Amino acid sequence: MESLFDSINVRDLLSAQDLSDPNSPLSAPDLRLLIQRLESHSLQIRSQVQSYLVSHREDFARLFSLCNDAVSQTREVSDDVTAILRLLSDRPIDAEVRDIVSEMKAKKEELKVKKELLGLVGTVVALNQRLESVREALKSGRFEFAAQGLKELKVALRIGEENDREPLVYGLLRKEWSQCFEEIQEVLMKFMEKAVRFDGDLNQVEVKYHLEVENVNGIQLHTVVEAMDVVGILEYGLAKVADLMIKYVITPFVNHGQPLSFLEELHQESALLKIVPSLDSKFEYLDGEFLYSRILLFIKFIYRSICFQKSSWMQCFGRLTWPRISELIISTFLSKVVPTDASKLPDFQKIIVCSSEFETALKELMYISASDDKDNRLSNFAENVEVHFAFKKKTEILAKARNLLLECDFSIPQEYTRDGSVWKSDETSVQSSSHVVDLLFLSERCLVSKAAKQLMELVHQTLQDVCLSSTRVALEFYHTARDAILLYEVVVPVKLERQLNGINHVAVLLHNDCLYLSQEIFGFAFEYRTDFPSSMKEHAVFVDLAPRFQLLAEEILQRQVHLVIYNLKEAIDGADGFQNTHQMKQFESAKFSIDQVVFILEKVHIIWEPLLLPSTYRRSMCTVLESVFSRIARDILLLDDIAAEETLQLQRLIYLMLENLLSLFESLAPGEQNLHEFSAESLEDFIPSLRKIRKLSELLDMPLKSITASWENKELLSCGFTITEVEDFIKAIFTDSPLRKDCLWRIQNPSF
Amino acid sequence: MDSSSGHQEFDYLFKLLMIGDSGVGKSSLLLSFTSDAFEDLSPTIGVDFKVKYVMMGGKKLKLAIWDTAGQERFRTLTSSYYRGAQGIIMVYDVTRRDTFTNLSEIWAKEIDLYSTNQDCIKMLVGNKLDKDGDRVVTKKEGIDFAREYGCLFIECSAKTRVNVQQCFEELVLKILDTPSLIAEGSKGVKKNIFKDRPPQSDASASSCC
Repeated sequence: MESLFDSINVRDLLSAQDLSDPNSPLSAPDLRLLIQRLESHSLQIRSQVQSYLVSHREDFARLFSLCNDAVSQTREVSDDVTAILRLLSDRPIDAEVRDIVSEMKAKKEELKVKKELLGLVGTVVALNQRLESVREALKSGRFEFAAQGLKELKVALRIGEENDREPLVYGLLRKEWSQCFEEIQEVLMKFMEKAVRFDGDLNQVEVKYHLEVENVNGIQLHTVVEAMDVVGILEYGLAKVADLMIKYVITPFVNHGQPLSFLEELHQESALLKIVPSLDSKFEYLDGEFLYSRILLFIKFIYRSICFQKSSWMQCFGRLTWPRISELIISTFLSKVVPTDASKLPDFQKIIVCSSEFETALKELMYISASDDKDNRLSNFAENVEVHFAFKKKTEILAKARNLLLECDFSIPQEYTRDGSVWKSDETSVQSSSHVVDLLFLSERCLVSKAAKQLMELVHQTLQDVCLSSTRVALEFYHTARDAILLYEVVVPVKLERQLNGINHVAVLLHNDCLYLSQEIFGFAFEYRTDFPSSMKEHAVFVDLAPRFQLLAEEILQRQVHLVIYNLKEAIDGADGFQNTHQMKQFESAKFSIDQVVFILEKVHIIWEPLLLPSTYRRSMCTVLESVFSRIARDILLLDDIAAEETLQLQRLIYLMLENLLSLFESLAPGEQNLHEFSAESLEDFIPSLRKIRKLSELLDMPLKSITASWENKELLSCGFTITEVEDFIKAIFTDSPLRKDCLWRIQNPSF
Repeated sequence: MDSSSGHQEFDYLFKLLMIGDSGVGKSSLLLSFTSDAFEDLSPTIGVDFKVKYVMMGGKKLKLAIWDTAGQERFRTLTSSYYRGAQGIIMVYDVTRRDTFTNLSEIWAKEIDLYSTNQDCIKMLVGNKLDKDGDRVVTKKEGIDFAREYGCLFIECSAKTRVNVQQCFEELVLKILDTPSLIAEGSKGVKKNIFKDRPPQSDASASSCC
């Protein structure tokens, strides 16, 4: 049969030729040959199949028989299924089965619920029985047993972990538990109150170890404390003891004017802590040794007699009392021994050592934590003594500075205003005066307010302390010095605001103050930097402060100058441009204005010369005079028609003014020149308008030809006259004529 | 040419001074006098000057009243303060005796030293009459001082304005009755310019019409 599965290759049936070319078409004879061979091959296959079937005849017969059996069995199964379905559909057996199953399920659930309830009842009964036993233990005085029971029940009842879905009975049980808890708490607290008492008459603390309350037999204090610990009310119990100790023992001891001490008595049934006057006649509070040793004695008493040397109990007592005790020690002792002088800081080291040793001893008693640095309250404070000292000193310095500024009335003693030259040159008066200072960067002496002088003394003292102090203290002092200086800047201008808006001595004094302060501040770096602590050398800055005071001084002075000029211009306005002064009324008005100008200038002279530095006085007064003279000259030169009589009157007014100002001019002589060498020319260099107005007074009665000649030889030009002013002046005075025309032409066409 | 209309017309300009110790009430007196509603008030130049126009004796007067503005505390008044004054008001406080005694000790001597006008009218004024309960200087003492020193006398209160107007009126009327003061106020200081400076012979120096 294998031949049936062989593939027939058609090319094998063809002739040998043309096999190499698959695309060549087949010839007719090849096709006929192919047909014949295929028919032959087909007959051969048919013959083989027929042989195979004959040889396997039994196998095929058995196979057909098997198929027939399978069909028969299938038909039987189909008949059986049909019968079953008929049976089921004819009777409702399934409904009955469903009902039975549902009933079984309900019964099972009911059983489950009942079992749960039974378990709950069992639990409740057990808990209730335990509560009963606790209650009985309380009544019979077995507090340790009762406490332990309460502790276990707290867990069982989930006290503090209530569940809303719990049965109501749990709430009732918790209520019972709370009542037991309150009962035991009350009993234990009563025991504590009995155990630890303060006797005011004997001034002592009494601790009883054996206690009897109501109908209960004797119980030990240790048992009471243990029970409180188990129940979880140890803090509450010891808090009462702590309050009692702070109130009656520690506070009186620390605050008592007369030194106190403690005397300890230990007995079998009790312990006493007596508060007695100290027998130490050489009592010295300064290093804290006495204070610390006595407090340590007290702590040891607590450790032995109340906490029974149990570390957890001692820690609890420490948490309750150490913050208060340490605060008392700091406020009544450490704060008071903080040095107020930088040189005494090393002496404080002994106190730092004592404080540290004291805290170490407390750690050994488990009174404070050995690992938590927060409990080193005394050491932390003592080691920061530099900060406390600096802060204390800073507050003191700034308060002093503020008082200096607010209390000073910025008045000037009378002897300084009468004749300023006396104190400016008198050497002996410098030492005795509280108002005169030598300026640092000028070879001049300056009159300042008492406040400024004292403030600067305070700042200098502070900076000297900076040089002597450690870095931390020095830094605080440095900022204190700066703050004190800034205090002047913010306080004084506001305080003197009204005076600064007028022309008076106070404003000039304030100017001097600011000038003085700025120069002193500039000098700080040179004076102190080399002695500052090394870490501060690069950071201490004063150069930013000095210019502020310099600007403030200049601002104050300029405001004064401005006010003076304003007043003077108002006075000149009264002259109404100096018009028609040949008429009597107008002349009187003009003269009145000149009088006012002179008076104002002399008043300013009186105020400024004694107080201002000579160079400042000259500069400021020249500014004012320049303003006055230029204004008056301008007004006169603006007149467009001047009568002959008017020229004489104007000339008289100018002469009157200049004559009345002679003493003022003399006050402007430079210090280097004596009065004999002082000349009008040197003053006119500072006040150009003075030269101009003097020349103007000459021009007013000068012939026309002379005026022209003055212009041609450049004299008028050098006096500050412009060509327009000269032309208008000539036109105002001289009537039109060929000579005037000729002179005007010559002026307009200068040959120079 | 026509006169300018820049300021008011007046017949006479009088310069009045107020002197006395600090705190006697000079500035209050000045304010009390110059702040009357019905009279014009010239703009104030600081607190040193007060200008007031009044009608008195049929004349329009311009009163320039000078105040020391506190300078008297330093005793540093200048001669310019006194120069040309036609009237001087010397003020004391009737409740402070030292202010009265200082008038003869200090201020009268200042007037003698600095005043350029021998004929100037002086008036003694006792201020703070409203505090009569605290009075320590009697009226008789004031009258005696005035008689001895040759000056007018009045007591007043700047606070209640009692006699303030009369104070200045009496002074001004007295000035008007003194011919030398009137001539000075009207014409200013006399000076013969032409004697000192002969006019140029140049014919071109003629005045405009």
